[in-house]
Amino acid sequence: MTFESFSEFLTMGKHGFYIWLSYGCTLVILLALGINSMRQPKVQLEKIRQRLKREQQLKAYQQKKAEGQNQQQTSTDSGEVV
Amino acid sequence: MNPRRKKRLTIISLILFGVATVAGLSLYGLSNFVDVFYTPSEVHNGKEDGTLKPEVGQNIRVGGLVVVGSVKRDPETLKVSFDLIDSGPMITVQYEGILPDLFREGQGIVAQGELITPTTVMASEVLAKHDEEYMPKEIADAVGKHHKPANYN
Amino acid sequence: MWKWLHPYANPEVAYHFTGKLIPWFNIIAALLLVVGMFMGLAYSPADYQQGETVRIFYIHVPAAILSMGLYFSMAIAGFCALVWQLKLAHAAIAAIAPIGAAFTAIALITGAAWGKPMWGTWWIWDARLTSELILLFLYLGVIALGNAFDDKNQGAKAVSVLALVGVVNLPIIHYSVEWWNTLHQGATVTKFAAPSMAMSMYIPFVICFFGFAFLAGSLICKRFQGQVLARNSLRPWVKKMALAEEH
Repeated sequence: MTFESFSEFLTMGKHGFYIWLSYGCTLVILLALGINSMRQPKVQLEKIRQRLKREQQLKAYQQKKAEGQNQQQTSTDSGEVV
Repeated sequence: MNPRRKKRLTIISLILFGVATVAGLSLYGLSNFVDVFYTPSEVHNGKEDGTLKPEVGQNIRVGGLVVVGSVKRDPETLKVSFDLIDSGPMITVQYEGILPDLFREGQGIVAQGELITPTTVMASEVLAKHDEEYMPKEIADAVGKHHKPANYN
Repeated sequence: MWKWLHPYANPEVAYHFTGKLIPWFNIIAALLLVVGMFMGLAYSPADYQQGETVRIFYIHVPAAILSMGLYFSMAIAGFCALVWQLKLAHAAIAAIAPIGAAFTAIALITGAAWGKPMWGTWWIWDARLTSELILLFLYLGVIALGNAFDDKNQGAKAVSVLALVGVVNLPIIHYSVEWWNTLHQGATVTKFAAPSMAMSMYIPFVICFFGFAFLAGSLICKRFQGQVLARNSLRPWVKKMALAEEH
């Protein structure tokens, strides 16, 4: 150990401010980067899931619309026959 | 113009702006600051090709070693003068203010200021340049590196 | 060699392979960083000239070396992307750039905090500092260009070119302190000679360096996984994975 006491460790001679500034900034940057990076696969999967859902809804809607048109057509057809 | 294309256009122009900034900065750096300072012999003789000799009145940076025994302090004010040397002739630096911690005789120094005579710089800023060697005090003592700040009193 | 490497060019295989690496990288990084930071902050001696500020070395120099090393690996990925049109290489570029930018920023910030007490200034436009700042802009350019296109595969070529072209800055950074007069001192550890550093300081540096390197590796793997998913979102295995995670 190079320091006799904890306060000496904090003041680091007279350059404590600069040393702790360096270590502090590094910690903040790496924490932010770490959290952001660790979430990446999840974020991307969520995006893909949203897109898949939207596509499914669109498909269902189009199918419904198509079915509705068919029904209308059949009803008018039968009307003409009568 | 559809919004997607618009978005792309703004982003690309932002990138172009960024690249322009980078290019500008590098040109700025290349023209004036690739060499951040003159050495004392360059102040006397100009740079290698002899074209870049600083003139009196010019604002320059000079880098060299503080000549041992040349540091003179005014006892009442913060005024100080010292000589800088590299491999050739010396120049004198005058300065008023607080010197960096690493300032000591034999230390590398970069002084910025006006060249008031062909060999004197009136410095407004004095920066310390240190070497790339790191060692604890005990080893420095053992290999005979002097590490005490000079006493100018 | 190509036969051996070929299966790893399959996105699904690469995704699972990097997934296996991450926990190991995390453990190694955590161990090394805890030991290295402790040694650097409390156990290693003060410098004979610079006193305690030499402790900034244990962050500043690993970050600076990584900022250049990561750029180099990104440029290699750019080269592979251009020559072999490997989609995984595009994913690698996008994964590396933010990590490299962060380490460049760390090197610049810690350098400023070290320069103020020792040199007497936070910043000077000398060749070393300026070229490292340009490296940061290159990283930001790669990131911005990558995000500029909605379809990730569209802008990939431009990104690869930028990543590859920027590599000319690396020798400029490294040799700036030899080619020009700079306030920044010469190399302590990155040279073909014994390090100009006492062993009691060199050892904590080495430990910290590998700690940061493994941390960078782990984060790059995670981002790479994210990029692989985003760029293969139409593949059945990705769709399956996306739907399986639903709660």
